[in-house]
Amino acid sequence: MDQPHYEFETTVSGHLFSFISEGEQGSIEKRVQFSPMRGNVFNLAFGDWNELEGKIDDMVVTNNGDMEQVLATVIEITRFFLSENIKISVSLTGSTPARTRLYQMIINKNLDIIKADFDVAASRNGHWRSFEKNVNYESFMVSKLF
Amino acid sequence: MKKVTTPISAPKHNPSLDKWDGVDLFPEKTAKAREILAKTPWPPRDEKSSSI
Repeated sequence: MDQPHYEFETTVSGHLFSFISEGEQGSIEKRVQFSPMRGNVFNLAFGDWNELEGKIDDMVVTNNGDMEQVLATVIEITRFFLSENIKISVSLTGSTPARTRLYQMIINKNLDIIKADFDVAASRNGHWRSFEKNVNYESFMVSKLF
Repeated sequence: MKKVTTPISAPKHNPSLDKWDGVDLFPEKTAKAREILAKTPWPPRDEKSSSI
């Protein structure tokens, strides 16, 4: 990735990651978790860490002025996770249609970089297809290229 | 065209995170993902034979 990213930390299992967003609103902890689904699929969840509730919140609007760097970090974490788990595919679904569109825009913007390492598929109307720009999808699946 | 990839960054282990290992930190999203994958299983039935 050309875009700088934050350093990140992980757990023994390597399924949970944490990093600190540094920006206009101060230091905000972000977490990325890969949760096992059926088969070789793990789902990616990402957002601000809410220590009081013990959960990730992706509805909060942080406005920390570093969205590009935060997204670059999530992509870098995904690269690491898939390099460590080469038979795994990572699914990505927004918690709202707006979030799904945001993910789609991120993939669109970084598609050439992502495709150097990954196969990107997307679902629409109950079918998986190769990801194409300018098509609206419901969910995304990223796998490491062999 | 030659494929160019950048080195992958390796994270440090943070022991204080380990207590959250295996805990679903975003159950709503996990549930939604399960719902979508039940409706649209992966890999597709015609596994990589056509458009993927």
